[in-house]
Amino acid sequence: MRHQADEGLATPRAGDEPGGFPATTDVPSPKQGGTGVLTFGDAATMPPAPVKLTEQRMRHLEYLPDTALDWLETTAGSIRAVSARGRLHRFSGEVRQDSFALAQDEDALVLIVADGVGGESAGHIGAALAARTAANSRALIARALAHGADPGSIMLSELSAAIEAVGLDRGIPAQAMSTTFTMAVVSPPASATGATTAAIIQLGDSPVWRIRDSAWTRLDAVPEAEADSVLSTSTLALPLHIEASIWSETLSPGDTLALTSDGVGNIIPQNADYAEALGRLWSGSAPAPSDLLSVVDATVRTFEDDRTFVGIRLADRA
Amino acid sequence: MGQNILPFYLVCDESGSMAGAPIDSINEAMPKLHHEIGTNPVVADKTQFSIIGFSDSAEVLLELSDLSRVTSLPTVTPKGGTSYSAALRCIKDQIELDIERLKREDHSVYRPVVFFLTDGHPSADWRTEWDALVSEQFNYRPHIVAFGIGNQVDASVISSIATFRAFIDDGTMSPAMALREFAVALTKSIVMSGSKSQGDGMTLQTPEEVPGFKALKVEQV
Repeated sequence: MRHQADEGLATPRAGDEPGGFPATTDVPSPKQGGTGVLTFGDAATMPPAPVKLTEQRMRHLEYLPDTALDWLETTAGSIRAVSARGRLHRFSGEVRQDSFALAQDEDALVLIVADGVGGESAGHIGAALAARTAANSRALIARALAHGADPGSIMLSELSAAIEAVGLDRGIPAQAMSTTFTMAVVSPPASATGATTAAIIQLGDSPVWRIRDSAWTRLDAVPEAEADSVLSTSTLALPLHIEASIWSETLSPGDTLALTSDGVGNIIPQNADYAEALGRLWSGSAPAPSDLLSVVDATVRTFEDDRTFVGIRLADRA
Repeated sequence: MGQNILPFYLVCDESGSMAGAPIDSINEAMPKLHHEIGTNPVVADKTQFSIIGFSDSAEVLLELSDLSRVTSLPTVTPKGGTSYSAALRCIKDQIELDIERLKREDHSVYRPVVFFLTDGHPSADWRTEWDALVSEQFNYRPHIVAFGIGNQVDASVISSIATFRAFIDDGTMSPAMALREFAVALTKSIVMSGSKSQGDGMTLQTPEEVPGFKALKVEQV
């Protein structure tokens, strides 16, 4: 390692890094898709690409890639899921802390987004555990389906227990694995009306949306923010909080139900071009996964958090 | 298009007693702070920085700015007495002006942070202006981190002005060196606060210890 600049010693020059790799500023801008890296709004100083590999700890249980993609085509609807590491984590070499999971059986399609908020890179572990435990929980899916139309609350004790058990086993404090949790259990459409019912479970600030004709409607309760106040970033999270909201939404053919982490959700109201581009991807049909990634992962200055978008576009009426 | 901005204010005592090595140290440290913050992509996009100098009155030396777009920082110059009330009134007025301007430009703003640096005793009572600045009625009330330097400063005053953290000169270094450490601590706070990932948010982070200073207890507001 070179010394920091000091009297009598040379200052490291750009391009002088150990091993001869170019300095950060010399790294060329990567292309994404056929259109290059998208930017909405002002140019950002923060580069879009990771500049160093992340330390991959064995406790993460898998090699955590920068980006995850998944998709599914069914007669009821088309699912697309993308989770992209934010600029901040790419620059600092930390793991993506968002996670998602999908599940499918004859009664329902299940979409889940979890956003790890704990420290020490253990937020990812909590998010992954919450998402996967829920996707595999017949009991939780059944409770969601049986819920009915009235809004209420539901205790997510089994998810909390799953996270805490792993924490005990691996010596990770429960708080360090804190995560939000949002889940949609989508029933098959009613044959008479074509309407689809989705039960939504939400703990924390990962929002839920409907996209219809490229326009966004937020479906969960937006926290009261006074017009003349400042941003607040606190959120409730598993495993220490277990009480989640549950309610039902009725959706029409051609609607897209989208669960996002707040890394996407915070941009929607603040950058109309981004919102419009992301919404437009879902008109007519669900987008190609790579097109969805291009827009979700576009540069938007000061919005540097991990970005996860899981959407189901309901089949058009035959 | 709207961005999420974290404003930092350096409020610097320019009273006569700061003349010489203390003020020179601050002025020497500013270009380093400017470079470190202006060229750090993690922080440059997200934070903005302002400098307010005070003695008998207070003035804005640098309007709240994106440091990557500022060519050089102003210098602070020693003047007269030590009016905390003028400083605190100026901070409140400026925060209000700045945040309202940012909101008109469709940005959202995190709770601002004030680094208050002083070497002396306030020349008159300042509690009224302080109460107005930190009151729950003031939606944009800042976090205040206070630093007292030199051997004239009153620890209880520094504790009382701060709402987040307070540090006082421990006498192990010259004021000049202590001020250099202050500038490093200020820079680290800005970088750490802008970088620490708590979701898309920001948590104010300051170093637990600053060489040349002793941490004081802060009365909870």
